[in-house]
Amino acid sequence: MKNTIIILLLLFSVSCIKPVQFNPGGRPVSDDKKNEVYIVNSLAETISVIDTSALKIKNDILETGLWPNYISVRNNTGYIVNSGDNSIQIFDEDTLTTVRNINLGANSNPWSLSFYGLTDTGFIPNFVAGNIAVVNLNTGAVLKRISVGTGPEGAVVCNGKLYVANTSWNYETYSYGQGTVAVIDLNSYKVVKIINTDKNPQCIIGFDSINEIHVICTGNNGGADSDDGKIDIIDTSNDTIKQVLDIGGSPGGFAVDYSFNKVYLCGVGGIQVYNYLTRDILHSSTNYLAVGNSNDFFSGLTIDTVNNRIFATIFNSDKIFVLDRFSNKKITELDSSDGPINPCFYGE
Amino acid sequence: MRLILFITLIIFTSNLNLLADTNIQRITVIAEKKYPEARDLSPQVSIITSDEIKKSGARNVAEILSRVVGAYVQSYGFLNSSSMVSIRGSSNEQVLVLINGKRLNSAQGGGVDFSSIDPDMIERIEIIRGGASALYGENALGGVINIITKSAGSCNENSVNYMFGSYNTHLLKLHSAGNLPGNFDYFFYGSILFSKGNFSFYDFKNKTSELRKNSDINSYDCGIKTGTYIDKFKTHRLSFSLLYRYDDKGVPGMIDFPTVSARMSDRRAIGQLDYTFNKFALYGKIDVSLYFNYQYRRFTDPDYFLGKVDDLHENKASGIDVKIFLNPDFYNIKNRIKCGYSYRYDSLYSTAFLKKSINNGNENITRHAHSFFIFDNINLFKFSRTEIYRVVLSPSMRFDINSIYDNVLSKQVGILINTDKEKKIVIKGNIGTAYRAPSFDDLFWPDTSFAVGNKNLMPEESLNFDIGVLSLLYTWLSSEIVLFYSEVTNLIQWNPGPGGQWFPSNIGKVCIKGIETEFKALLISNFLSGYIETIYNYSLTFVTDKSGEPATDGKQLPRRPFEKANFIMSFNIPDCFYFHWETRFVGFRYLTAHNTKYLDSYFTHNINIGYEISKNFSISLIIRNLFNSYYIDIREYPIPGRELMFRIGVEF
Repeated sequence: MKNTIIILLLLFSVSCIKPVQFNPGGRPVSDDKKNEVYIVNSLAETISVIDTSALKIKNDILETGLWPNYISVRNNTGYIVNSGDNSIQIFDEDTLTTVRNINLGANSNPWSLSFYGLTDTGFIPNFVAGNIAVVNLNTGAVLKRISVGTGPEGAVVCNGKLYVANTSWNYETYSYGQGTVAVIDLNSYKVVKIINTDKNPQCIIGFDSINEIHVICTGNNGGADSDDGKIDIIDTSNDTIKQVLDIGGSPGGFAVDYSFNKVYLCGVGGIQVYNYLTRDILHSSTNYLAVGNSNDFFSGLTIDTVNNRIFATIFNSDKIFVLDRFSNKKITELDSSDGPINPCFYGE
Repeated sequence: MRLILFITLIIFTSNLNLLADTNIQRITVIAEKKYPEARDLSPQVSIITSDEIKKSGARNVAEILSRVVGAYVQSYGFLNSSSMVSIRGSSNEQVLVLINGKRLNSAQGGGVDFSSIDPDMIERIEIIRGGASALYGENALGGVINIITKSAGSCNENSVNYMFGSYNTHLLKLHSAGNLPGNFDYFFYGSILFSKGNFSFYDFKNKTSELRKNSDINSYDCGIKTGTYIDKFKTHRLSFSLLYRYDDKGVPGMIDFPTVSARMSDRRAIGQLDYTFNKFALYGKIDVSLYFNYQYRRFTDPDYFLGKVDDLHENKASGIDVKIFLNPDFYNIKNRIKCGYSYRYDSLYSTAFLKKSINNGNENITRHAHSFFIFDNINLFKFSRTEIYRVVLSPSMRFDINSIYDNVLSKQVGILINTDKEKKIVIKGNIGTAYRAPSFDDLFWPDTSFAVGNKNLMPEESLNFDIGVLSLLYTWLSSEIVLFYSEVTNLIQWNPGPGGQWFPSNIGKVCIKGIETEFKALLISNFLSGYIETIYNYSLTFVTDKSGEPATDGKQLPRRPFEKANFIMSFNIPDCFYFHWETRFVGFRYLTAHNTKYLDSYFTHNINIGYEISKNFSISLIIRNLFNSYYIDIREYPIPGRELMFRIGVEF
């Protein structure tokens, strides 16, 4: 009887398995906080850090909110856009700890973040809400919400105006409607113009020096009819499209190498490259920069201008490809956490 | 809370010796003689009887199944919300659900919602833990839940019960059983459920109390089962059953993406016509069964964040089962053979699918399935003078031919060993294969920018092994300890393909292993002629990703708790009073495949107190989540706190 009771008591001792706690904080190389690449692990819901000098990665250093989609770091402060939580998670880049969250409200679905120069103002396109939130990143106050269209994803400030790309995704028809770019006057915070673009504009690159924005139109984003990516070049002096680059593929992310006037695009199958001054298409969908497998989904790019490397995240295989900035050859690959996207280089 | 459990157990066990010595009648813990007991079946089986259902106070089958060892119920919220079940770390879709032997799983996929099954119509639930495709075919990869509805023979009562309680919930139930002219017996049940459903909950993220709106439900459920012997020797029986349910309910969705206006309307009709010839080949039997299953779902949300939604899904199935039961003796070895053939036709009409042409422009997606199966129960030997009293070998095989995926041959062998005539020790073991068929959603999901189905998918396959010992330790205490192991290959996983478009493929591989234990104890007290029975079960399940993907390999699959336990204590004074207590423990569950986030473990406690005022009049009080625990099963889907229900019942 005694044995039976002991056995039963032991069996009552439930909760004997404890969750594995990953080790938050810490860096790939101790005390080296310069020249790092931050990566959002969208499925693991964490971020990783790469020491770009040592080419060492430390995964899962900080827990994010639900469905993290974007990260940006400046002035020792990191900003994570949590699409599912409707929040901007602000962390101390030095200690790698969360400082606070800015709640954007239910049904916002924030997608990315653009800074207004060096000010504390940030612009956050809210995909579901169809607006852009103007936020004081220092105080966390949401200053304004400006309706811009359907399914906004990318935004940029260029020549004193804010440009927001609207994908116009239509759930009822499972298709994209007319893609647009909303032009917002930053004095009045009002939409002053809507520019029709090619299908599914997801990102915008601003080039103040040449008075242009380049709108990356992803097109059908995979599937049989997906080789329809385009770059719509808009003259910011009159906000009209002045040229369209038929680059093909389904580009959905970018990195700009200002030293070599190159724009690197990522998406299906590989990396595409064009010269933003000459418009020369160096790598289109017919000759991707061959660094991965044909079905790899390149989910983000960033350029390390200090160590001259390009970092590309591969969503499906949880890899980070490291390329030489000059030769564009693959140097190595690193194992990331689950679902890496949108890397961000933070240098000296 | 664990301390309370310890104390309860210590008090309880300290009284066992005294009570066990009393010379009073012994009530068997499992006493259903009409059906085989778990001790007579080689698969690892849990059985829930109508009496246990009644005492639990459960309002739907999901609440009942949560007590089963190895079964894990995930609820999306209140009474109206979907509740899915997994067994031994399976997915919801890897559990085959049968009603009176006919599959409830739709070919469209998505698992079976147990919140929409009325427990009061049920005579018995048999839960086979572990793969059983050699007996039951597709989807029986994690286990099988067979729901047997009441019939006139099993339920001889006319009753009306009215329940009312928290969140403006009202439930009216009517039962009637008896005989009709022409020697027809019948069982009828009907229920009407109304609830406003809005409940307050604790928002863990924002650490605030919030109100969950749009959790209302209006539901109508009814069924009839009737039959007659068509000859005076009672060798030919014809029976018919029809079950119908209608639900209209709010489905408020995730907290952060509240689709407050979303509603769902479900209709389900299941009809079955059975013919049984009881004296085929002297001691054999033939069952022929025609059936249909109609499931309708309309989901509307005018305010859905990606645009207005109005989707309609109609799943229709019909088929015929022919089963032959034979009991031949070969060289004095007794055999119980069951063999047969079944045909099933499934079709789906879905407006979501029509938005993109996925079936060469045809409106319906269809499939045809033919199955041939044979099962034998071989009594190898039966010696009364040896240590091993009886050995039963149970080989089974099933060949499934399907029009949309490859043919599958499933095999299984079970063994059952009794060491003594009283079955004090029963050793059971099984080894076999099982599979889950790709669903219509997996195969034909329309090509959108976010996802596309894969017509080349193969079935998920598993190799399963388990061994268990059932023992009657004392006259008042029985135990069951089972070890299980399985390897699942070709697991269908949706991953982002080119362009980020989610796409299913047979790339997953999972290793599942664990232990299940259950102890049942029965006490009888002279005092007030009452008795106490208790059940304690505990399962430990490791569901390990073996895909080889660096980020997830070796990790526990998300939404699978390692641990689950139940403690049930019931004090009964027959025909007078009962007090039923249930404590449920669910261990932590990882949220992400990389195991970086998890939901905390939790306890819940439910009680049901019933009193029979007179022979015809009874009342009861049901309290669910007694200590008002805040917990969730699915991230972003809150669950109510304490709920009270009162019941008034009249029998006539």
